[in-house]
Amino acid sequence: MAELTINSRVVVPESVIAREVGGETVILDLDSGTYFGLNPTATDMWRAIAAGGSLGDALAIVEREYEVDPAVLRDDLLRLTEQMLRRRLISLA
Amino acid sequence: MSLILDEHREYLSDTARMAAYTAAIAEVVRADDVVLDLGAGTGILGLLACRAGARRVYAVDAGSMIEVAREVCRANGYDDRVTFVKKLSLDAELPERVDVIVADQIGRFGFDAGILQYFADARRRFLKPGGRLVPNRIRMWVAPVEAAALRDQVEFWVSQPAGFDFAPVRRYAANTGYPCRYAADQLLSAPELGTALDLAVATDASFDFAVSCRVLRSGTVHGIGGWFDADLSDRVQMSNSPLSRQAINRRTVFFPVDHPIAVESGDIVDVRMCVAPTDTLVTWKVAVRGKAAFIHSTWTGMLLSREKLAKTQPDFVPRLTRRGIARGSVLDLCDGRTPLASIEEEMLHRYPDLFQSRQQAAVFVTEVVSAYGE
Repeated sequence: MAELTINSRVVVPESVIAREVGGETVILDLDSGTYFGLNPTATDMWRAIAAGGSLGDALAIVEREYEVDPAVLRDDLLRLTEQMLRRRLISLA
Repeated sequence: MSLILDEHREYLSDTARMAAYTAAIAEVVRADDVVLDLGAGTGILGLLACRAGARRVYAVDAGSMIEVAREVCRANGYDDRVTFVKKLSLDAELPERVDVIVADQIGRFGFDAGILQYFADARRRFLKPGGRLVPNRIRMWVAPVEAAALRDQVEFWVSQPAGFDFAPVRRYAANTGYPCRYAADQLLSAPELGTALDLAVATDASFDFAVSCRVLRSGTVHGIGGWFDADLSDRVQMSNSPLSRQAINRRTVFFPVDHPIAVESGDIVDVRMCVAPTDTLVTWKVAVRGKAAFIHSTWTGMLLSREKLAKTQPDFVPRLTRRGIARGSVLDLCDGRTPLASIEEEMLHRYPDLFQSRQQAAVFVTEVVSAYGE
């Protein structure tokens, strides 16, 4: 797998479908038949990640929504991205 | 009249379906065969197997129709040959392996009544090597359809019923498959074969297919139509296709697209479908080349509540409700020694806040015991 950086772009595979319920997101991976839940913060990150830009673009979106140390936000975003890559809910473009 | 009974009356009065199963079972079942009638309902397929010479039929069904099936079987003099098992086939055990499995768990689109899951399990646990399946192959067909009236069911939700805004519901409605019937002239292209499921090897794993449909006349794409045909035997097919003259009396499915698209002869409609059989989930991606593209999924249309979702979080710490505790008590009292009447009496005594009468306790106990007792 290519190294994950803030310049990486990710895509959501065709087999992955997300929907929001009460501010949380539930993601279904049709290939594995498994479901994943995201809390409201992770939901905002997912929305930004899945928007199609680079992770840097996603970070900029999330930074506008959260008054948190940008370095912390960056780490959180990269960690979530890594987790989702590992579970094949996204792939590197 | 029982609605379930009425449903079975429709199955039995469907002459095309009955003719197909009668011919197929006569062709496939041989003298002295052992047959599994999976999801037996009235037991009709098992009766046909008896008539074809089966030595033994195991009629498996989890519903209360099984009692009706027993009576029908007796009325026809086959009660010495048919063994009834009131269980879901996934939970059933049989004392021997079978030569043939017969079922009609095909649904409207070929997979949606559970046949993939049931057959994968029954094949592995019940079927002899080289055993036969009825049906043995199912094909799923799709075509873009012109169906304004069906699409109106989606748009209803933005019509402000009683003067209120129900627009949030439209997203659910647009991501739902609708049972329906088409006239042949509602199809905008020739049907395209999505996939063929070989039931000798098919599993309940997710699958997908992609087809391109060439539009044959100008019109409006309102959605995608889906139906099936099934090989019941080498010679017998059964289908609910709107183009089949021998179609059985079973509705097809309409998968709407977000908004109508005008098309001309020669336009190409690309359809990609992903299916998760165990959850009966369908995702349909539709692109009218050069004009529009849509993604829909019954996953998006599924009714989920935040309360239910909260209970699926890994950090959720569940506690039993009062009725949950009571249910646990019933299970504990099913110790292999205590008769039902005593369990009911004990429950009434222990849970006066839940049960005001012996009758109420009995209903509760019966519900638990019928699900988990034997």
